[in-house]
Amino acid sequence: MRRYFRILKVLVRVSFIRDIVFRGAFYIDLFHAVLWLGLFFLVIEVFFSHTESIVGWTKGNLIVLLGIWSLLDDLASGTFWEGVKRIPTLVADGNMDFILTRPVDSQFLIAAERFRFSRVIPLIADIALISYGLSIGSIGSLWTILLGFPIVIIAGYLTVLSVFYLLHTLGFWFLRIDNIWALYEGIENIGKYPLDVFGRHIKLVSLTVVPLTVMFTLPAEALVGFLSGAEVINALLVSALFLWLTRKFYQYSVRRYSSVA
Amino acid sequence: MTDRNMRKYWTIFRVVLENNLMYRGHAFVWMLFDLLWIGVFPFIWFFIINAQGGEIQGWNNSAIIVYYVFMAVLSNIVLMHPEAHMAYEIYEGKFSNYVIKPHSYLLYVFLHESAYKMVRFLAFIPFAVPLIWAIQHFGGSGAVLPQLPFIILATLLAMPIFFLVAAIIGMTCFWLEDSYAARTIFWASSGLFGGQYAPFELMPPILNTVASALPFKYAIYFPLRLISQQVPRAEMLRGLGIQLVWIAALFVLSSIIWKKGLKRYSAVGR
Amino acid sequence: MLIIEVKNLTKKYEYYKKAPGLLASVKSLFHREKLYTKAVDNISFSVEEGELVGFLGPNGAGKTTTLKMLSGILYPTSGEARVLGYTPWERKKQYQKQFAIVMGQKNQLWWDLPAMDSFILNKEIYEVPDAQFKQTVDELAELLEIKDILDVQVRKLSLGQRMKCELIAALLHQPKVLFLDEPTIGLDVVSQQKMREFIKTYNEQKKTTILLTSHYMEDVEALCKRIIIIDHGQILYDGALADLMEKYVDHKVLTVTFTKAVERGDLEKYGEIKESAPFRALLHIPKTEVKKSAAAILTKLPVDDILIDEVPVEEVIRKIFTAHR
Repeated sequence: MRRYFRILKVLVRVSFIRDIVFRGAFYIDLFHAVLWLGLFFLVIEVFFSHTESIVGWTKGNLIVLLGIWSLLDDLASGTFWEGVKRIPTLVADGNMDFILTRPVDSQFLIAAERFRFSRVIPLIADIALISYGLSIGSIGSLWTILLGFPIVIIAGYLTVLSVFYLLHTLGFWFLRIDNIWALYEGIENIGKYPLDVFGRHIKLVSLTVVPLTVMFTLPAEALVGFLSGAEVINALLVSALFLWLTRKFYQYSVRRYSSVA
Repeated sequence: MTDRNMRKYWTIFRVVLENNLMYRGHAFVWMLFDLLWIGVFPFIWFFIINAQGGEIQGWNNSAIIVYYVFMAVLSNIVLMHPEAHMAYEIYEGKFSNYVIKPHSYLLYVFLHESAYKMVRFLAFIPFAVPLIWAIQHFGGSGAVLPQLPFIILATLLAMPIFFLVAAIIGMTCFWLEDSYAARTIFWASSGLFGGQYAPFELMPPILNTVASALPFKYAIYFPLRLISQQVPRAEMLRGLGIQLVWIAALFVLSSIIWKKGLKRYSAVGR
Repeated sequence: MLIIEVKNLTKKYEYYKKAPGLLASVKSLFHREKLYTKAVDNISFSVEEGELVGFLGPNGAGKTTTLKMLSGILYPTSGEARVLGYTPWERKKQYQKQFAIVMGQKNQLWWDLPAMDSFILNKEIYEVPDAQFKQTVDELAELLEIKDILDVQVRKLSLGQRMKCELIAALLHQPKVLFLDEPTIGLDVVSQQKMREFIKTYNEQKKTTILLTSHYMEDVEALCKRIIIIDHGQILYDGALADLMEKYVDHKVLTVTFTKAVERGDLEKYGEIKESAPFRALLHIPKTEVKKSAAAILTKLPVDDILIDEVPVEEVIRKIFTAHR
C-alpha cells in the first residue's frame, strides 16, 4: 500500500512539472470554464424566463446542479481523465503490453498517469457558482449538508470514475474508438439537468444502469435539501456496484486481450 | 472541371469514404454525442411549454419535437466540421502537399467532410426510425408540407454557410499555435446563436438581435424553423435572400483569409 | 540450472481478411472472412542460467510472439512454459519483478521528460532501494556513455541514445532474465555496435539470462553462441552457431584474382564456378579439398591474390529458410 502511495507521489510530481512547463493550460482551462459555465448559466436564465420551476427545481437549484456537475467534471479531468482516456490508443499501438508486464496494478497505473493542476482554478468558479445558486434558491439542512453531501459526492465521483473507466475498457474490444470519451461526454451532458424531466422510465435508468442521478443529481440534491435517506443508500449501493463492475470488466477484458491479441 | 480533375476528386472522396467506413465506430460515437446533447432540450421545453399552457410564442410540443428531431438530422448531414481536420493538417505541415497540387484545398476539405457525413448518416439511420415515430406521436408536421421546396432550398443553402464559417475558423491555425480557443468559441456560438439551445422566439430578444448579425442563425435555425412551423412567404423569401448574402460574403471572406494565410504559411514555414 | 523451459508452445491468431476497394469496405460491414494463423507452432526449448540466446527469423516468424508469451503479455493457445519457475501468463508480481523486456523502436519512457524521471518511476514500481538505484544508474550510464544526457528530454535524444536509456530503465531492478526484441532495429551502425558490446559485457558480468530476437545477422553473430532459428512459428535449428556452420556448410569460398587472363575451362576442375571473369573468379570448393585445390591453383595458374573464406552466415540461414518453404 505504501508502495502505491510512493508511486502516486512520483506521478503527481511529474504531472506538476508538466503543468508548470506548459502554463498555457491554466489559461485555456480558465477560458473554458468561463465560456461554458457562462453559456449554460445563460441557458438556465432562458428556461426560467418562462417558468418558476422545472420538475420542482428552481433557478437557484438548477444553478447549484450546474455547479456540481461542473465540479465533478473538473475533478474527474483533473485526476483520472487523461490517464484513462489513453486506453484505446495504448491498446492500438501496443504500449499496453508494457503496462501489463509491470508488477503494479495496471488499472491504477493507467489512471494515475496524468493529473491536471490547471483544473484547480475552474474548481473555484464551480464553487462560486454553487454558492450563488444556494444564495438565491433553497439550501438543505445542516444534517443533509454535513452528513449526506460528503457521502453522495464521493459516491458521485467514484461512479463518474467507474462509468468513464467502463466505457474506455471497450478499447480492448474495439480497435478504432479512441473517441469513446465523446460518448462519455454525451451521456454526461444529460446530467446537467434534473433527470425527472425525462420521465419516469429514464429516471429509473438514471438511478441504475446509467447512473447519472448518482453521479450528479444526488450531490446537488444534498446541498439544496431534496436528498432522502433512500437516495443515500442508493448512492452507496450503485457506486459500490459500479466500482466492482468496472474492476471485473477490466480484468476480463485484459484476459481476453491476452488470449486473442 | 476537366476529366482528370474529376477522377482525382472522386478518388479522394472514395478513399476517405473507405477510411471512414473502417472508422465507423468513430462516426457512431459522434452521432450519439450529438443526439444526446440535442436530445435533452425537447424534454425540457416540453415541460416548460406544458407549464405555460401548451404553447409559447407559436411553439407547441409538436413544433418543438420536429425542431429538435430535424436538428439531429441536420447535424448528421449538413453541419460539417472541417476545422479540426484543417487545424491538424496546417499544424502538422501535411497541408503542404495541397499547396503544390493543382486543386482547391477547400474543395478537398469539403469532399473529406462529405465522405465523413455519409458514414455519419448511415450510423444515424437506425435512430431516425424512432425519431420519426416521435414526430408522428406528437402531431406530425404535415402542415409545413406546402413549404417543402423552401425547406429543401434553405437546407441546401445552410450547408455552405456552416462549412465556410468552420473553414475560416480552421484557417485561424495559420496564425494561432493552438486554435482550440477559436474552435471552442465557434462551437459555443453556433449553439447559442444557431438556436440550438432554444428557438429564438423563446429566448430574450437581444439574443435574436445579435444572432441576426451572425451566420449561425441562417445555417441552423432558419431551415429548422421552416420545417417546424408555418411561416409567411415574405419571411421565407427574406430568409433565403439573407442566406445567399451570407454565402457570398463568407466566400469572399474565406478567399481573402486563405490568401493571407497562405502567404504567412510560406513565410513562416513548417 | 534451467531458467527458461518451453514445451509445445503454440499461439493461434484469428484475423479478418479485408480486400481493398470501396465495394469490399461496404461488404465488410455485413460479412468478414475469418482466418487463422499459427504465429507460434508447437515449439520447445530450454535455456540455462547466464545463456545469451539469439532468436533469428524473418519478420512474422513468431519471435516477438514467443517473447510476449514468455513475458506474460499473451496467453498461449496450448503448451507450457516456465521462466524462473513461474508460468509467465499468470503475471505473478514476484515473477514480474525479476524480468525485463525491451522492444526496439518502442518507447517505455516518458517522451517529454528527462529519462531520469522515468527511471525514478521504475525505481518505485520495482521497489529498488535508493543506494542500489544510484549505483545501478551510475554504473550503466558509465558503461553506455550517456551520463550527461540523463537530464535531457527523451524526445530530444537520438534513437541510439533513447535505446540506451530504455536499457537502463529496464535494468534498474537487476532482472535475472532479459528479453530483447529487435533491440538494434533502426539504429545507426555505431549505435548497433555499442548496443551489442554492452549486451555482451552485461551478460558476462551479471550472468543475466538473455533472450534476444533479431532479423540482423550481425546481432546474432556478435553475441550468441547459441541460436534458435525460427520461421513460420516453427524452430528450424536450435544449437551452437558454430555447429550450424558445420552442419549446413560443406564448402568454402575461394576468390582468386589473376595477373594474366584465365579461361573458364582451366578452373572447372577445381570446384564449382560461381563467378568468372578473365582476371577474377569465385569458386565454391568442398571443405575437404580446398587446401589441395588452392595449392594447385597457386602453382598452375598466374595468381595475383587468393582468398579463402567462410560461407557468410546469412547465406546459410537463407538456405535454411528457403528449404523450409
